[in-house]
Amino acid sequence: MDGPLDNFDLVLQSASAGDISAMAHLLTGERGALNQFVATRLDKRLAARLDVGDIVQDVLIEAACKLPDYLDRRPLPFTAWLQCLALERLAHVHRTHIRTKKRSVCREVAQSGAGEDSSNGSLVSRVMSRDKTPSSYVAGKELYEQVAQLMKGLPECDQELLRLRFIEQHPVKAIATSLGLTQEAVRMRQLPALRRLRELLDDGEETR
Amino acid sequence: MSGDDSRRNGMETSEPLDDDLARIVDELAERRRRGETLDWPACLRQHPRHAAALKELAPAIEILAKFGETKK
Repeated sequence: MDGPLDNFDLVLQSASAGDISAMAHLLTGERGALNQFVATRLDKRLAARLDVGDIVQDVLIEAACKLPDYLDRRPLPFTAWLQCLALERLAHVHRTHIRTKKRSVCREVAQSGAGEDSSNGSLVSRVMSRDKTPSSYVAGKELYEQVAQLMKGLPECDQELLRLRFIEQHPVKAIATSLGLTQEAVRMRQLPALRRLRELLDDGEETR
Repeated sequence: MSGDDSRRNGMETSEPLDDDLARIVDELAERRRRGETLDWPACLRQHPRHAAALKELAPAIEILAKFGETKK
């Protein structure tokens, strides 16, 4: 019996074997869903001057380049993989069009090591400090609320991964089992998830 | 499409670098998990090719770790 999933697997197999039309079918079949995915996540400040279709086109071009590697490894379900590429493209667009200055935290890390200067009171500066004074208890509560809020801006899969790996600090093997992924997939997904969190941190700094 | 083609088309071909960076980030996460306080300047010196990327990621990693400490 050939259900929709079987057909999709067949297309994947054909694409894996180098069938160009199967590759095109895979990618163009996701265009509509990707348009919607990007439209709901595009920063409002950019929505007026950037075309969602252009962004999706860039995502599909990048996906076409990376498709052979994806088909070899298949670290994620196909749709989730495309969505990750779309999120990375959105982050890139955001960096290009909105961010005009590098965050001072980069200099703090490079120059003072632990980032001792927390004088500007920003979330990043306070976190990078090693403050152990009594007032840090209050700051800690505030930090908890701010970071909890920040995390909500991430895709659920990122939230879950970052929570398990960096907050609760579980080993990769346990996380892989918990999320039904390979250990390699967990390792590879950490990086884009952290980058997306970093973008949110920048957004938070800019609106302060 | 070859890597050269990708570059001509202005596309990023950063997978090997990203793989390497992902491995470093995983190592840092493991060290954090073992209770080590990360010495970021030392990390940057140890991985000069990825120093810029690690500088960008450092606050995110530290924030999550501190968030975990705050929760305890």
